[in-house]
Amino acid sequence: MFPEIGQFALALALGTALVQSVLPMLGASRGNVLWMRCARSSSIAQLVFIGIAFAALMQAFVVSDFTVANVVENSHSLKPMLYKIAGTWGSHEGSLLLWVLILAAFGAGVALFGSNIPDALKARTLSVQAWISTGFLSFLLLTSNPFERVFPPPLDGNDLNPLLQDVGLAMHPPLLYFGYVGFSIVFSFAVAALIEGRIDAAWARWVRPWTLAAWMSLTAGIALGSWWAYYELGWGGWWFWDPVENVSFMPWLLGTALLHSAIVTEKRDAFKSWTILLAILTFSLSLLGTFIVRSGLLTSVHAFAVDPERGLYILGLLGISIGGSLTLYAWRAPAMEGGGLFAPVSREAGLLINNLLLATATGTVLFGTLYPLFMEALTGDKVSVGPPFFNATFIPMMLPLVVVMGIGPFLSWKRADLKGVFQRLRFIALLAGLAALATWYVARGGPALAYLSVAITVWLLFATLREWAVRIRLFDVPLAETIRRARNLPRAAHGMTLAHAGLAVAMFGFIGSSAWKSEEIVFVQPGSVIEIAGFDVRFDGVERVRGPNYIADRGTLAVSREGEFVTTLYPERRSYPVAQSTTTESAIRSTLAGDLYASLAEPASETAADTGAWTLRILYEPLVNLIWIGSTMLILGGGMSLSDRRLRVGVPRRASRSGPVATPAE
Amino acid sequence: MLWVFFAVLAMSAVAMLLYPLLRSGAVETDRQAGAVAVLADQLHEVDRDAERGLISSDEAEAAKSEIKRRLLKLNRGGSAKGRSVTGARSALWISALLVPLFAGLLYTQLGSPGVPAVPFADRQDEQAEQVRITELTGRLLDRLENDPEGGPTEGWMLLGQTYMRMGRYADAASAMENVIERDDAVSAMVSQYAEALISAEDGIVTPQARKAIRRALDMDSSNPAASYYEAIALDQAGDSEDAHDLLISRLEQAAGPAPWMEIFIAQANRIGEAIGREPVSLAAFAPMAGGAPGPTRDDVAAASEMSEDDRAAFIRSMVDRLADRLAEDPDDLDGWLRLGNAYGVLGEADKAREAYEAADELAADLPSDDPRKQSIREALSELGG
Amino acid sequence: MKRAIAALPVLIVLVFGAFFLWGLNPDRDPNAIPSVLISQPAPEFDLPAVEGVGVPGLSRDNLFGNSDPVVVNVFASWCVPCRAEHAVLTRMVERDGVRLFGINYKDKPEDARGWLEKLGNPYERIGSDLNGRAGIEWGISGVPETFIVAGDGTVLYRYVGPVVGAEAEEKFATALAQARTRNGANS
Repeated sequence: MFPEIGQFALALALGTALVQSVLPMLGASRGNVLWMRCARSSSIAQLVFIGIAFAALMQAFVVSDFTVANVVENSHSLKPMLYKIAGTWGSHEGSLLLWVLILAAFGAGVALFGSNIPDALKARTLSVQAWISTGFLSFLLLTSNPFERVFPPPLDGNDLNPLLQDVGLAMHPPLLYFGYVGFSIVFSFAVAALIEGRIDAAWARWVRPWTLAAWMSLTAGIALGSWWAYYELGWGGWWFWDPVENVSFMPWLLGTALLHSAIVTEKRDAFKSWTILLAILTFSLSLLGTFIVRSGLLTSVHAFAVDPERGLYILGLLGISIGGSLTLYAWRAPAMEGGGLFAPVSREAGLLINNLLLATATGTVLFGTLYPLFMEALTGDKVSVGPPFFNATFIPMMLPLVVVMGIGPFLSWKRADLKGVFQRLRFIALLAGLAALATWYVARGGPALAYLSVAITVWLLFATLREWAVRIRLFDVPLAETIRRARNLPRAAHGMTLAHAGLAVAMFGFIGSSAWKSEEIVFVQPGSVIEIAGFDVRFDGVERVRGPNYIADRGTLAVSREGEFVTTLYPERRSYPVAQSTTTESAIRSTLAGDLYASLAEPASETAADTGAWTLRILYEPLVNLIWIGSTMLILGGGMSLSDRRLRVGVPRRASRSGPVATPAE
Repeated sequence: MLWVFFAVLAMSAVAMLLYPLLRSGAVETDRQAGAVAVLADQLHEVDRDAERGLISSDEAEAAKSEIKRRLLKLNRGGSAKGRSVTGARSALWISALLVPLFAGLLYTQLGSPGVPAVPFADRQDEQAEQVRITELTGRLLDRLENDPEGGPTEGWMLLGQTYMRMGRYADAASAMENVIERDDAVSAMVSQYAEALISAEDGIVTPQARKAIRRALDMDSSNPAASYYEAIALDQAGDSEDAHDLLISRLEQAAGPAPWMEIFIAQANRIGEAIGREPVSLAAFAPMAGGAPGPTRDDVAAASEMSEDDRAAFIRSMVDRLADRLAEDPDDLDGWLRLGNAYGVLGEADKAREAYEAADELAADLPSDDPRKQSIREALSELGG
Repeated sequence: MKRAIAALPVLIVLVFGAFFLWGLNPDRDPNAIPSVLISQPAPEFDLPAVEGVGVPGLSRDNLFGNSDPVVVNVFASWCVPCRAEHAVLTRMVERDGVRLFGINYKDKPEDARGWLEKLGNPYERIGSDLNGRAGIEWGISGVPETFIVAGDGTVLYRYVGPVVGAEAEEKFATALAQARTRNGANS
């Protein structure tokens, strides 16, 4: 019964989305309040119905109802409960359902919490959101129905893949989707503004919280995904420039640019058409990601089951939404008035450089990701674009960006005093140089770029802290005064400091773990000792252990440093007899200074395993944990900014009693 | 029960969509006022920043004058439209009611209301049955293995067949292996053994299986299963022509319709396609459908050796297949004639007429002296078309 | 001018769309990677026979100076698709007179022997690649893989995965036919 309820609820959601696509839009152009207000209730209705459908599917997974084809293909009665639940979004159909659920959640979010947004803008925005929703709901129902039934049900499900049984993997898609589908609402705001023909400071401020929310989730999703690849997959790396990673990274880069350009629109009424373009493109890149992951267009390790027909349908949706919005843009953007002027040295100019670099970097990643496709189409040659391309193009663009990031917050709007800024930052520049030298003294070796990067990162970290210190007059005035100032500083300012510092922290992690990573792949026998990054790792052999549903070969590694015992590592190779597959469980000793990471590779030959000889892979990744710490700071910074009260200023309620402007007392 | 839920969902959809009606008299919030509020807040903020010394007073003045300029421009740009239509409730009503209607229509296309939800936990009977069978086979195996006489042949074969049904082909083969060399083994057992061996190798005929097939054929050359697997073996060894010939000759030898013919035909066509031979159809071999113009009353009588139900099913399936094929390939005039005849025999006058009408259209291009034209006319007039 | 710039994004997107449309062509397989060996001489390797199978081992020299192109198939008894492919290879040898060489990849000799006894042995020579060294030289990405080597030892074609199913077999047969005509032209 529940699956059928889910099916019907999904059909109702599509019906609701259709109404919401038309009525509020018409209402906004005719000034019909009733029709505009209908956007609010229908957005919530959509969320409720899609929520019911999602719950119904999840219920089918939880009780292992094998009359639902999707459950048969993606679950098994013996799976642990957590992975049964995660199976709900593990397949193409289920993940698409999650996609539309999140789409609806952002629509309903604006409907519920957007009371500061004027009716007409809200109605148009929600209508545009409903267009997207209509497209994807029909895609879901017509080509990938998650509630397809089979009767009589097969005895048990088909999927017991132990590799996919992982907490990180179970949590990753929802978070990533939350971010990248979240940009849909920003897109809807932009299209609504184009239709309305009005983009100003107020618009930028109303959109900002939604951009921030989407950006935070996307940051979290990407960080979690790379954390998963690093800790669970046993690949010994946190980023591979895989197409699927790239398609989530591109919206992040462009979303970051959008976050900054919207500030200029808000404060100075400038960059308007650029901000709108960024909003459209950010979501377009998210759609592109959905398309690439589901169409089998590019080679990737994490792609879904390939189906060109579905690909064609999504391409159609893409064509309509991206092509349509950009055509509207081409028509309306030239009419937009330019905003306030600014000097070549000013906050605006700094943010302009930020935007240009981020947009170029996005373009580079896009080009690198799609280059194999272009080449194949034009010449028939198959090429692959790997990390060397991205490292050679992306990093040189990021370094100047980081330098500007250190200076930017010191610049004032319109016209800034660069000399004064440099005077303030003299010592920090010196500090950065010294840091690079100190690193060289300690590390000796590694690429020159790494030292430059260290200097620039130190620069960013301390310039950011210095800017914050200047604002609260740290050490200039008595402590009580400093605290008062810190409390009075807008939350958004604290958020910026935290996020910028977070990026610097994460960058230390990037640099440390890529430039000074050590790796040994060796053939060992019991008693062999491997030296790596100052550690002595002794291999004490492999024993066979039994787990709940697997048998494992567990290696024992005694780690010591300068004769002193540090820890024992137990990497495993597990084989699951029922699922007939093998997984590698790496053993990691994790500290702030770096991770010592060991995994057992397959025995060199069948006979080698009997003699106790194994291939062992040992890695030392310095500072890698700073990546996750820095990412957390980025997210917290976003959250801090989101809580700024200024983001809630908006339309005064005519009927309200408290006065014309809803400004809460401080 | 399900429909009650559907009704509740549908009604809540209508209710949610109609909710705005409850708040009648609402006035549109003004875009202009919103922009003014935001700018006013920016003014406050500049003041606050200046107060705290975050920006100099010059900067503050410049910023404030800019914001004020923007405020002025806003006010010049004309005030709010001021028109707030609250009418046109009917549009909302109509759309709200269309939603469940639309959803219902869509659901009839996609849903399967008749299929019950069957949680895994509720299927203990089925699982218990499975466990019981496994247990029984285990016990049977035990008994057979411990039988000092080596166990009765039927017992081993039963065990093997049970394993086959469970998909444990290798076990099935090893169970049967115990008895196929015995004196009381018959050709059918040996061919079943070959089948188990082949299934265990995912359809590949191993040399061992080939030996068993040969033996089965030696014991009884009319054993269809043995001929079938012999053909598969020939095909896999590269002698597709021989394989095809074998299948066809075996079909030709058949005395009457038999259940194995269908699978022979499918296999023959699969092999035939690869080596470019004309596809064959069941009608060409089963006497009841042999040759145009289709099954005669006599042919149907010939099929009457089968039980009443079997015969009906046999005829039905044959006619349906022909109809399906014609739906895909409607240019086959003779096919339509046969179909019309078959429906006539089955007493389905309407369908027969449709078939003859289709034939009539195709026959339009034929010379007028073609005998088929004549028979179409006759049939149609008989059916009153 | 402003108008042209504003229209630029939509134009770029149209170009991208055209590429994507092309990319969705169902015959396209983005995972097919051409081997670096194509048009190169066969790599250096020398493998002993699999004990007890009764056919000699395989080395690079065996691939030179043949009158016809030969097929080199990398297989293993633990590889499930190889079973399916086995029938196809056998058919090629028996029906089309293809000369088939095998590289038995990371396989215990007794397992390989059992496998070949059970399924039959279509291979003229089989080299036992116990430690996977020759597999690396050939640059294989998995088992099975099948190469066509010209009479002069040049690797002409590589097929990744089992040659099973009408489409794959046709592809392979076409490549083989091409290799034969090329061989004829050269000699």
